[in-house]
Amino acid sequence: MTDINTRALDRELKRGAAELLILSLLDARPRHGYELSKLIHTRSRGQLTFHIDSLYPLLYRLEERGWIKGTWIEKPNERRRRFYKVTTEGRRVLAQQRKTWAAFVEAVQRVTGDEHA
Amino acid sequence: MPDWTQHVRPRLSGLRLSPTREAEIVEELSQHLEDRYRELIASGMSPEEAERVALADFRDGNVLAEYMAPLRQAHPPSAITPGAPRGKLLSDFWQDLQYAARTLWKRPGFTAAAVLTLAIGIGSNAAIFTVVNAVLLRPLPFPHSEQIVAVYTRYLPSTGYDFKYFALSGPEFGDVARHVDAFSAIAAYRFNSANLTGGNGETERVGTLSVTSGFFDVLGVKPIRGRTFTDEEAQRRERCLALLTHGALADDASAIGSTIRLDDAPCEVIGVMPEGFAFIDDDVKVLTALPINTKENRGSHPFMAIARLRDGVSAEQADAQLQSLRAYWSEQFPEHYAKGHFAIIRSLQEDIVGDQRDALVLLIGAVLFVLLIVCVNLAALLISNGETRRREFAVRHALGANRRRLIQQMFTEAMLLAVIGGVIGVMLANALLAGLLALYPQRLPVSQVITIDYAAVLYTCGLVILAGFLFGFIPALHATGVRMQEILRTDSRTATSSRRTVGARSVLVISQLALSVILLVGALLLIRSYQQLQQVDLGFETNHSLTFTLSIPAGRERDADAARRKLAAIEDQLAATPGVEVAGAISSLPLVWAGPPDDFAIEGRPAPPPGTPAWSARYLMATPRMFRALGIPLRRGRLLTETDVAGQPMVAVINETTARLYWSGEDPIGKTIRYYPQETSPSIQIVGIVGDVRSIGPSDPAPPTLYVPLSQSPRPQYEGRAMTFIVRASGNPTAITPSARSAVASVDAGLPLASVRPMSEIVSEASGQPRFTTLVMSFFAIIAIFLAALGLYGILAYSVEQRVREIGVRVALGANKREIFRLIIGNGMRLALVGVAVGVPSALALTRLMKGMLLGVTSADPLTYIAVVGMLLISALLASYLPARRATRVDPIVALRAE
Repeated sequence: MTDINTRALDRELKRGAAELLILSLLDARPRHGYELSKLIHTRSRGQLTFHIDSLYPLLYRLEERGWIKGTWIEKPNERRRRFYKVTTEGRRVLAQQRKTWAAFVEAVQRVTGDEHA
Repeated sequence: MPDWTQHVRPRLSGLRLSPTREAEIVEELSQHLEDRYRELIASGMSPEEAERVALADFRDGNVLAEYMAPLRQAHPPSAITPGAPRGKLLSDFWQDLQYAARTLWKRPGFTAAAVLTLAIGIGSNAAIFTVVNAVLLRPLPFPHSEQIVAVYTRYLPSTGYDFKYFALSGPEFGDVARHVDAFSAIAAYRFNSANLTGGNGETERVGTLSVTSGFFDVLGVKPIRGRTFTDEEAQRRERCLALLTHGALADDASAIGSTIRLDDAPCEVIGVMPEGFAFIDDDVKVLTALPINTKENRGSHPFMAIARLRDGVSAEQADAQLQSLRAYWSEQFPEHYAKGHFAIIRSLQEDIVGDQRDALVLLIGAVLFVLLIVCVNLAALLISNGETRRREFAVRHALGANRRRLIQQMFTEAMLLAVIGGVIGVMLANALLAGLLALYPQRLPVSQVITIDYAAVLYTCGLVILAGFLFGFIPALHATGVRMQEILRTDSRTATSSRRTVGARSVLVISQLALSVILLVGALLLIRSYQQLQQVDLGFETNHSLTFTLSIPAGRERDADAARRKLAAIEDQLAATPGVEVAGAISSLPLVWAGPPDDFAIEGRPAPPPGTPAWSARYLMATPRMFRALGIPLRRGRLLTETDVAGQPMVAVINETTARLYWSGEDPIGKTIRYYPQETSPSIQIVGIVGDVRSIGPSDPAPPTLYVPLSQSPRPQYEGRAMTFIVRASGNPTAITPSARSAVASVDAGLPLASVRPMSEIVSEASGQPRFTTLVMSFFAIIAIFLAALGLYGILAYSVEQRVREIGVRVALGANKREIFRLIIGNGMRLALVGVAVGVPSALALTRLMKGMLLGVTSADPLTYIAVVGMLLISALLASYLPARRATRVDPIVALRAE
């Protein structure tokens, strides 16, 4: 696979899933970008990695859609960080996407299960 | 620690982020790298290694920019190019508006010219439309006023008379009321005047209106307090009942049941009319009952009448019923009707404003021409504006503005111009309207407040914009549409484009010049006709006289002879007043409505056979001194004298017209006549002939007139209780008003003076309508020629500007200044001559419609046309002068280098 193809695949695979991941993680509490990337990496046990150059454009896109909202927050003795939280609209989308995802996974499992049976 | 920002920022440089947003992203991503770096260091990496690993998160080929590019924030927040499309209507409009304001502000000459032109067009049109609307178009202030008609009788010329609209006799009125069931109500009325004494004892001379009981049903108006009188009450004459118009007495509420005195006779107030009620004459303060004898005097026509058509009945149906009445009359009373005398109707609105229509229609026509000129001027302005801005449009197009947006921009500019022009136009219209109303010679149909009609303003505004678009916008489309790149590459002022502009503008300027020729001819014809009117010898002395009317009602002086003696005593008193040269009295002044003429018979001559014109003349009572006071010259015989008193043989003086009409080839002096009814009226001997007086109006010939001495009063109806005094002063006539008042008061302190005014004012009023028309028309003509000259100036100035290089070359090749000057002047004059060539035939055709308004000049008056052509050429010369002078100052070196 060439580099271009990797990127294309990356984009295609992550398009739906990545949004779901981000929204789910932010649903619990507001987080900043680095925290999000670390969480995804550790929770997927290294299987999923968001590069800096794809994570932030994704965040900005979700923000433009009004699903999440970023705010600069300053803590004592720290540089300010941009924290993102899910908006009401984002929560509605998240619920929808979770359902779709579950249905999708179930369908995939049925197909692949049949193959292995 | 590494500076992460220098790694992040370059990756964003390809995007069009706003500076603040870019700074935020740089900060956020640097923070991310920093966090990563610290973590890697903490896990034991060397700083160099940690930096390398952290930065490795950025993949090759600037994936960040690729992923960011589709985001909205990566696009420019606002168009840098005015006119670039953004697709947001409101903000686009706001932007366009700001841009338009800036553009117009930067072009003060163009803006001022356009706004001024628009304001003149909108202002004058709105003002005239408002007057026309109020006079001609607005319905009369009565419910379903379109159902109200005026009823007249008509005498065809075959009867020997020619009265299109003549009053009705009592029996005629009764017949119409009985036979025509197309009318739901019919009423007769008569205007008069009386001395009104209210509760406070003060007396004033007021207008009165006597009406039959149907009057209120015809108009559909009820008194706001009290009641109207019944038909029976009206016919029974023993009790005087009156309705007052609103505010006639100070207190409406207590008026009902109170007693006022009309000409010193007591009268019970039974009703008060609602506020704003006025019928034809808004000076009327008292309405009284009009008794009407429908049995006798079929030949005497004292009544005016109005009627209301039944719901659903047309005027044609009513006409048809009147036609059958005509047949009935001809059969029953052939001596009265067989020759062509019958009843007719016309709408009340038409009846009231009909005579003002011609002048107003002419003015509407003129003001529409002005509007046309305004539009043409505006179009010419817009065309050259579009041309000069071709380059600007091309640049903006190149910077991303699309054509639709550029057109939208031009539209916004036009709208802004229209709004500013409209606002100034409305202010102008208000001023013009005030002037028009102050000048307006006629009583407006009803007392109503006339203000600028905003509908008219909007309408005019719309018209101007529309026309501006048709002429100016299409070239603008053209300007934005063609060869954008070409324009950028070459110069905008290519020969073809400017030549086309000059061509288009030439057509516009020619049409402007032609239109102003028409208006100038119209105005000049009116002016010449008005001059003729002023030079007409009215036949009496119009200056230095004060006039006023005195009335001695029966309630004040029971005996008519005593009343006349009192008037004579007042005349003597006036004559003896210092500053008074002579004082006389007459029953009706020249130029003041005197009612229809009276018929007479000539003794010793068989009466004119039925159907041929009866002998008739205005019957005026006068004191002997009246002839000197009015300056009426004696032609033959003698004037009336102090010895012509009651008991002496009755005498009369006739005017030249009477002598010519009824005694041609004979000497009227010594002949005797009798008035109708012949049996009871005494014979009158004609003792003298005096000069003619144009007593109907300056443009009408003198009517046959007969003067009898006040002291002889030969007919019972003419008691001579009301006379108008003419007091000739040695100085300013109005200055003697106080001494005239005290002279009257020294004879009878309770007599009010009515209609106190100098004779010159009456004369001036008599030519009020032509003066109004002439003034307004001249005003429009001046605007027209001014705008046309402005247009001509504009196009010449533009073409000189465009031809600077050509002129430079000519000068360089040896052309001298005079040749250059002649070239430009020649251009201007050629346009002017074409304008004249188009305008003169149009004017000849159109002014023929004005024939009815002209006196002493024909519509093809050659002097007028010569003057107009001269005026136009002189204006054209003036308009060409400045551009021509500018052309002679072209320095060839500068001109050739400038391009």
